[in-house]
Amino acid sequence: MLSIENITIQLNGQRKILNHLNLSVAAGEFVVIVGANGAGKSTLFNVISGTIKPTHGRVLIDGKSDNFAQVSRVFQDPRVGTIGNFTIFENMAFAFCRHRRRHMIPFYGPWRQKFFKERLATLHMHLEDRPDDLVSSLSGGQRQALSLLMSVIGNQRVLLLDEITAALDPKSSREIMALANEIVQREARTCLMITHNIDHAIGCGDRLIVLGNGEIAKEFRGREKKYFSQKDLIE
Amino acid sequence: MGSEFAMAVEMGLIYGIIAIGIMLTFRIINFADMTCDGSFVFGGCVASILVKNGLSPAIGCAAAFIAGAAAGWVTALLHSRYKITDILAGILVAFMLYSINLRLLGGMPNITLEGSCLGNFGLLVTAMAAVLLIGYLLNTDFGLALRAIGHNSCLAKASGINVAAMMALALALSNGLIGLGGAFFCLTQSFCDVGSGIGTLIVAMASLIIGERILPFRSPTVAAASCVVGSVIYRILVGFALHGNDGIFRSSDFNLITGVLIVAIMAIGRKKKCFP
Ligand SMILES: Nc1ncnc2c1ncn2[C@@H]1O[C@H](COP(=O)(O)OP(=O)(O)OP(=O)(O)O)[C@@H](O)[C@H]1O
Ligand SMILES: [Mg+2]
Repeated sequence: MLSIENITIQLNGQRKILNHLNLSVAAGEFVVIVGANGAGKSTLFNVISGTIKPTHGRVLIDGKSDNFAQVSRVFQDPRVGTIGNFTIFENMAFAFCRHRRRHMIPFYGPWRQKFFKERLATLHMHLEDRPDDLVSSLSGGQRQALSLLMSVIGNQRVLLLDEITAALDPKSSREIMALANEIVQREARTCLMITHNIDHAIGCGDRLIVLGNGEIAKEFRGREKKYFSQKDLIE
Repeated sequence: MGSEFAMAVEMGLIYGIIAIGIMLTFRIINFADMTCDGSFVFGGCVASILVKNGLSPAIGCAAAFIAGAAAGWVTALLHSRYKITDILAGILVAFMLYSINLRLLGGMPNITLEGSCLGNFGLLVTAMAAVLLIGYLLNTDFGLALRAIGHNSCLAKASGINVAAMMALALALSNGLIGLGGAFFCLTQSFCDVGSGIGTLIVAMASLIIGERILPFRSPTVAAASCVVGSVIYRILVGFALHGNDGIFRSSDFNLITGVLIVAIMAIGRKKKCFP
């Protein structure tokens, strides 16, 4: 499904942020990535989603390179993942057309209104009752939840989650993780998730990867994950 | 007084079209476009020359739109290809257009046309068409993408939008409208002057801000309409200040009055700061 081949990133001839990194992810697999600050996790996501071009190597999705239309992403910062001076509804409509042709037809058709309300209701944050509120008036957690919803409203096969619970309180954080888990499982999306939360790292996903110095330092599959501990991160 | 009022409405409509162009750049895609002062005269010169050479005013106006659009496109190119900041790119293009405009007029600073070539009815219809068209455009999926590039280009890129192309399109559309405004200005006055562009941006900005205060709604159609309404009101206000009282102000005080008006409106209606 997703295959990252020999990726090296070296910006302006400085030190290598990613160093000959190889990773292949099967369709429907859920991979969790951990690593110290500055280990290159977000950079890896930037490469997969096509925001930056690697110095060497390539990313194949379904066997095709530059297939970025199959990637959707939730950013680390909810202010990047949503548009503050759009309404909730406009944000949904904007996300709905991700990687599609954007036609000259009004974005607020009745079918969409109904569909968006249904999707918003799955967040249990009562956002469906205030579709015309500006997103800048939402709380950080609500914005992040909306950002997650926006990233899965299309049918992209690869989903990238970058520390999506960093801004959330424990309860919302649990809810968002449950939601993410549910979406990934129900729709069999291929998912990569970055987290600093040890519980999420052990509890979620099929595989755990520790990134260090631009390389995959350690890898735990399935059952092995319970041997993962804080020590693996600090080393 | 009656003719002065008609004059104010006429000017209001012309600058209303320009204000819609300004709204597209300054408000919709968040691009501080200074091409305006140049593309206004550029449109005016192109239309004037074509009409003077016997072509119909409609063709002149269409050509003015295309000329303005080309100017806007160049600004977008300078910004996205060569990373020149938005303000400087626009100023550069306006600066260069001055020479081109002088050449268009055959080296003379101004030319006169015979008779008025454009009726007020045509003006009204064009202004309304511009409002409806821009309003509709911004309410579509495509328009949503246009609005997104200025406010979150990172997400726009990640959503598969070609930000540079969208920006070029918006700037072309904006400056096309401004060029059209310039053509209307010259054809109704039967006079075209290379210096007439100075301050176009400020006047259009005044119209935009007045419109926003009077009709503070998010609907793009209302926003576009408010530009025209604001522009007409602005003209009436300024006309009243200049002519309505006996000799306190002279017509040379136009800039001062406009500036004070803008500052006053911004000071009165400033929005509460929103926390990030
Ligand atoms: N545009 C850039 N220009 C220069 N250096 C960059 C750029 N983007 C990232 N880096 C560098 O790459 C390294 C990895 O950054 P990255 O954002 O991928 O870290 P991360 O693993 O996501 O960290 P965190 O856990 O803090 O989010 C950092 O040292 C950073 O300074
Ligand atoms: Mg990061």
